Amino acid sequence: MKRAPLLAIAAAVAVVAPLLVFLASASNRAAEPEAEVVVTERELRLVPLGEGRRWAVLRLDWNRDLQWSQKEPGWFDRAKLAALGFDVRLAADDLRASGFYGWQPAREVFLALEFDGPAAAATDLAYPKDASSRSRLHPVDAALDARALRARHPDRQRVLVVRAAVTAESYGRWDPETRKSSPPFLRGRIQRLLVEEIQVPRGRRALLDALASGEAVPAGAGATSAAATAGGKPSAEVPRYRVVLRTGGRLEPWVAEVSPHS
Amino acid sequence: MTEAGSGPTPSSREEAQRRADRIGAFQCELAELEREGALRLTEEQRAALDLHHSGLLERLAKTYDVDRTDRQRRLSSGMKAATLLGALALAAALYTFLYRFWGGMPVALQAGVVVATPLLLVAGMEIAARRERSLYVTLLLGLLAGASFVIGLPVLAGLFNVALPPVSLLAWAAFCGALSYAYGLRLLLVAAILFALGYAGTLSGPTDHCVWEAFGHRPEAFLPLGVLLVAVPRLAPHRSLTGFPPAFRTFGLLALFLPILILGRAGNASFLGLGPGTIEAAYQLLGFVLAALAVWLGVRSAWPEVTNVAGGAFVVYLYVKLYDWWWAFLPRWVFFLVLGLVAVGLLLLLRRFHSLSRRSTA
Repeated sequence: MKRAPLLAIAAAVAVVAPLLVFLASASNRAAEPEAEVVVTERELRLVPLGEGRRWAVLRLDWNRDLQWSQKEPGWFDRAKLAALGFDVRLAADDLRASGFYGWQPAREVFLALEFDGPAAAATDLAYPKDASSRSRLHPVDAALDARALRARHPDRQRVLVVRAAVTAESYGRWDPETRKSSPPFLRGRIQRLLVEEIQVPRGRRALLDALASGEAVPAGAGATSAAATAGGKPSAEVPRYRVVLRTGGRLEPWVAEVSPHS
Repeated sequence: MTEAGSGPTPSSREEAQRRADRIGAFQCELAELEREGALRLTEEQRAALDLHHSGLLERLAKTYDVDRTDRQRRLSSGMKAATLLGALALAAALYTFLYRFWGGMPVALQAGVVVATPLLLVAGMEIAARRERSLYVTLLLGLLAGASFVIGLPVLAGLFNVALPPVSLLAWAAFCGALSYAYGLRLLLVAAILFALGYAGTLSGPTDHCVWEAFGHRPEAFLPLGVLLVAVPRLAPHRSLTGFPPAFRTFGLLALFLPILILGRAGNASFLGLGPGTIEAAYQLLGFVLAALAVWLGVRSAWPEVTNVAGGAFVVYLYVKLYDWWWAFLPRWVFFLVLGLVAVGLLLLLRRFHSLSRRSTA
């Protein structure tokens, strides 16, 4: 077999694949932002430095852990799962339910994340502990059609529509006091957002880099409060920065602006 | 009399090595036959044969750097291991070095590094392949090129906050596959096959988007690719790349037998809309029939890798079935005794086949 055409194929793949990534990014940011939400450190956490990484990376906190304390399916119920294309013909308490739902593949869907809305208020009421430091970003709806989802949640300053992988499960909550599981119910579980860790361009990262490394905030970063200049670990009560977060045509988020939280 | 060491030149290093091995074995056996008095060559014949063989070995060594002695063979094995370890260590060094300075680089430079690294390493492969016959350095650079492309793409996607779809597995498969065929590097072919299988594993339905999390939830998605992999050596003969067909057959069979094993125990994982019990029974039966057929085909076609993989699959299917039947109610010692007796039974059966085959050969 001739070597030159094969090397040309390898080179073409090595160039075209990154090019497609560039194009995807460009198409995401080409038009007007699909949504723009101003969030704080509570919603976009600094990923701890480590493994040789010395620059700040942010992670969207959408209250993943609350999924484990659910006592009922909430909005992500049987009807929603059926609408997303899952096979929901078995009852959650059927003996075969665990295997039946466990083998159903995860699906990519569009997810509405509501910032500081009724869902956040209801959660704070139900779980008052950590209410002042918990993220105010909560999943509130999902659909296979992004436009239909946006039509149901038209506030683009409060609701982000993003892509996520979700799955169906028959879930019984373990109660450590009674040492028993509650009767199982069928619910949808969000496995992850397709873009959950967000890289910030070097030009907008000075404040975050300083906070992540525990250094004093550089003067050019424009720190205005004691909390913002303190560095080190985040305060439980006072967020140290605010971020303008945008999503674009492909519903992938990016950071448009970072500033100290006043 | 032809010129010493003349004859057709083998088309690949593997073929050349096999020829060199055959010459070595022939020389040993000839010496044994002469000692036993079963064969006596004249001085002239002996000299001509030695001259021919030494000329041939010299030519093979010059063209393909074949191993001529056991010591050379052992050294070659060590060099292969060193190549693998070296590639791993160098990939880790490259990754950690770039990672150390990554945050300080402008985006354009980061993107440039990600795109250029695999291309430079491919260029390095070409230079190395022109200078060496054994291709150890070429393989090392090839593994590095593959690693840099596989690591670079998600890094780039992360840099621009783009969700990388599982179809990137096909890009990795194409990259590694093209390099493997360009230089005859079987390890890169195995990587390409595994990436292709990885992509197949994420397919969860004809109309769904693939997501990484869906991997393995519909094992039937592996089956068409498994059949295709087994068929590749028949569809496209690999005359010069003689090490490739066994790799295709081995991974093709694994892509058939492992999903069938899973589907035989978890009918819920099937695409088919039948009851789980029916699906499990059907796949258990299919597994036994397919494994037995593959053993027969492997013996008949002299494909040892097919015989080994299929034989192993048959034994696993059998033991899993015995577990289902008896583990719950037989005392443990009786259960393991039964397993042992089954193994002895299989041994006797294979011995019977062996003696039948010896008789038919005679």
